[in-house]
Amino acid sequence: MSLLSILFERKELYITLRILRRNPLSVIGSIIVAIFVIMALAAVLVGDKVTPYNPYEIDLSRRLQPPSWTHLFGTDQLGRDVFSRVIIGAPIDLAIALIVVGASVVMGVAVGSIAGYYGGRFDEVLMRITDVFLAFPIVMLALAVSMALGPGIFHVIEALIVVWWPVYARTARAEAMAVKENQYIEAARASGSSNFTIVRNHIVPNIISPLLVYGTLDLGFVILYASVLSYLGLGAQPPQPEWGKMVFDGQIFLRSAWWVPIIPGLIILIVVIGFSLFGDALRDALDPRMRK
Amino acid sequence: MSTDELVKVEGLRLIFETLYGTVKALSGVDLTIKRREVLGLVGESGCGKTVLGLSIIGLLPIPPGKILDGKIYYQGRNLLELSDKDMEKVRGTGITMIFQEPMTALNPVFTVGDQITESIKVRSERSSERPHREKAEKPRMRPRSKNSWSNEVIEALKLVRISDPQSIVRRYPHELSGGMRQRVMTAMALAAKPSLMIADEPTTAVDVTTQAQVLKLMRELMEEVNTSILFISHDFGVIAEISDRVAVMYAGNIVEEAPVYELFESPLHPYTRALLASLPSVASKKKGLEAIAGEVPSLVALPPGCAFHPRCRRAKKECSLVVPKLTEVSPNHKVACLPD
Amino acid sequence: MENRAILNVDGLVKHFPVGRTSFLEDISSLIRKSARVVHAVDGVSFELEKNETLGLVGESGCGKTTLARTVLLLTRPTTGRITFEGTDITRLKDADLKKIRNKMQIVFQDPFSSLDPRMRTKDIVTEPLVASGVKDKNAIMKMAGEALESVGLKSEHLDRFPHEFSGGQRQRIGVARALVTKPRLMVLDEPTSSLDASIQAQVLGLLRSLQNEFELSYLLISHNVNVVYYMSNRIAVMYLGKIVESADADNIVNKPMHPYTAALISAVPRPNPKLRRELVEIKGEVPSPINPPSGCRYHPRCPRATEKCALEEPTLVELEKNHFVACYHPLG
Repeated sequence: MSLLSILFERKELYITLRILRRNPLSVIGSIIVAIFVIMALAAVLVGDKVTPYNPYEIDLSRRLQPPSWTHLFGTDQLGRDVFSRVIIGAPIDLAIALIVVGASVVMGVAVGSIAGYYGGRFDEVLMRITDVFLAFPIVMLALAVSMALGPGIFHVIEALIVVWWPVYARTARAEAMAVKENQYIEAARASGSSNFTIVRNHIVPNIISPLLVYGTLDLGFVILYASVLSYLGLGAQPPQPEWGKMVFDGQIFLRSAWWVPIIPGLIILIVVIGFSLFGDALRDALDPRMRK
Repeated sequence: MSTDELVKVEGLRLIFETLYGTVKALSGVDLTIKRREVLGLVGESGCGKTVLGLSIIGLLPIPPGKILDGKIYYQGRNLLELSDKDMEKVRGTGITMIFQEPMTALNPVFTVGDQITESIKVRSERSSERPHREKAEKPRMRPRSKNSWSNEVIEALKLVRISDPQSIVRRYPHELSGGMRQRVMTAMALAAKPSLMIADEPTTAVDVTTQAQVLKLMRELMEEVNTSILFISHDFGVIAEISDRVAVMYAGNIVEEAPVYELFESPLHPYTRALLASLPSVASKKKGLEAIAGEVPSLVALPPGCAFHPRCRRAKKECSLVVPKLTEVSPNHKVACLPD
Repeated sequence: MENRAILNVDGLVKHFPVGRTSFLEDISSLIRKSARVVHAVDGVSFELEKNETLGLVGESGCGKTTLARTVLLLTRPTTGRITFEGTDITRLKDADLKKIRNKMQIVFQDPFSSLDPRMRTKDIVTEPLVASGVKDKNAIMKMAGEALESVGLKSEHLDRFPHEFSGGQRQRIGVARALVTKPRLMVLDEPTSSLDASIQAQVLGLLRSLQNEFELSYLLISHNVNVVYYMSNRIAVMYLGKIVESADADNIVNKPMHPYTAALISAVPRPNPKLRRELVEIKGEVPSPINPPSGCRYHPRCPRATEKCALEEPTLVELEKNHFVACYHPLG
């Protein structure tokens, strides 16, 4: 079963939804992800109008007010409404996650499919390169690249892509090696197709699906690392309401006005867990054995 | 149940609830397995023969399987009514099963000797209704010294005609060839001296020459050990070689049952006849084969009435309305087909 | 000398290095003669005539599958020569090989894994045409439609995916794919082994009628002696990488001369209990192709073996008209 067949065939979609509905955890995960995505889309498309207050408006007379009916998440040290800032901050992390995962999938598939199909020297060289990247803990590597590039969200994206793609290359290679064993690959060679044609027409479409599922799971983790990097001061710059940055800015108020750092942190936690549950559930739902 | 009947299946109906719909695996199966016989159960993939075998030995996963109706009698008891514990006692001692892939049935981390020992141990534990005096030496999982495999283990290996049991007994499954593993699995199944051994496609994965040897072995063993065999296969040739009686299955039903010579000499059900006429064989001249039109129906969407009627040359209107029952039309020869 | 043969194989050898598949090709295994190799095909010669079916039978490890692949140059031979329609194709470069590919096609065993599940039928069937450089989209579609119809499917099936078809239909698609470039030679690799009995006859019947209609030559590979007997004019029996006997199909089955052939034929189950018979004796198990026995490869298992058999390997000799045997003590 594949993502593509899910999308194209109503019967498969129906069955996927039924499986997802079974497990309460997967329902929760799906709802969280749905809310997050809607929030981010709304923030991008509609802009300030969707928030109750202007997220950038500074009003020192209202600073550090606790959560109430007027300010659902309270206000921060500059009097800005935290709830509005959370909403506007959503698309930042979503965009980072989508770009990083998207680029990693593309690069990973390109490298991995060639390594897996051709084998031999190609494979050895490419795998040693990915080994170098994989030898470092993610945070360290992302930090190093980020610091080298300087602050700013685009640099965070670049740093994360550098760190992220090797895993996809590895997975793509493993999938490519499995796909290579199928008789239709041999049939394609018997038909006279060139190696490049085979990789493009047969290998890549058949390995994309598990990678996309894997990517969905990963979106949450990218958001986590992006927030960490912002927390460390490397990503978003003021006044961008990126959630990790909000945690950092608010941490001095941890005792006096806990809502300023804690709430954005909680939101990060919830979103990451949501993606994790959703990704797990999706992977199980697409597993052919479960579908029997 | 008369005294020469070992297992009697009556009206067994079994379904699987899946996401794609309800699979009607067995639609009212009647089958009798007698003592000291090889009953060949033959049919194409998806006809329900494996499911039937698993039901008899109680290895069918329930859920997703669900028994709607029917009884399976063994030694006077209905197996479907037994508790799990009681069914476990029957399994391995009264009824055993061997499978197509010996590599998956054998545990790769134990030697051959250990695994056979375990079968024997299980039997002696379960026959604990016997007085203590009768219990022989307790077999161990690990031998005390390299050479102390119990005699029973060696005898079991000799029984399956393994020529060098002393050296085979200490090997691991992956060190043996496919044919050898099949023999070991048979040895394990017979070490417990069961009344019935169910063999599910045991020779499908081995070479033709090995298959011939295994079949010959099974026939001889049936006589020596006094075990009946339910031999499940899709290969009519194999069935002809080994069976005393044959039951033909199609889409969850038994469509014909007869002694082996009679079935091949005068098959009565249109499916059996069509299938036999479509088989290439070294024994027949190379005339044209008559293919059966159409495809085997999916068990989720069975045609109404007789499951074979859409492909049957002799189908009449009634065939789509009534499911024909398996009836005896001549001594010992049963067919599930509406009379002309 | 009139050459009616469409395919001529001479002394074909294919060895595989043992262990990790090395990217160094067979040349290195020749240099390092002491390295361990799998002697998959170890010196095979035969001819396939126009419009005939040659069946290759043998059990696991005999090398028939490797032989089929090597003849089509899907894998390069270690040594030996392959002549197709009079041209030596053994050492052809890839670019030249492409032109020949159209005329030599193959039908695979597994209808489930031999079709790319992500491609529509039309793309599957037209792949050989596209690969050989045909550009005209209309011509391609027309040929695809024709190919499908000649295997008994309809052109409306072109848009469907493989999983929408049954096993028998998928196998037909595989046949259509092999037919679309109008080949002269088709290798059939266990074409019905994965199909149900009732479908098998359909596909075999189809293959026979196609052979008549398009004047095809078939190289049929199978472990199923019954199918090979039904389809083939001549049969060659393989054991551990060598042909041990080859003759007309009837003679192989009714008058086998090599002890292995006799054992094999006697082991084949007949769907008729009246034909139960004594088995011809065969001892032990098949040895590994990494270390084939000395002399005649069959001698450790042969009840007729003598000292001579262990020392020197017998060659194929024409003992009767068109009946070749490699044995010092043949039957009959």
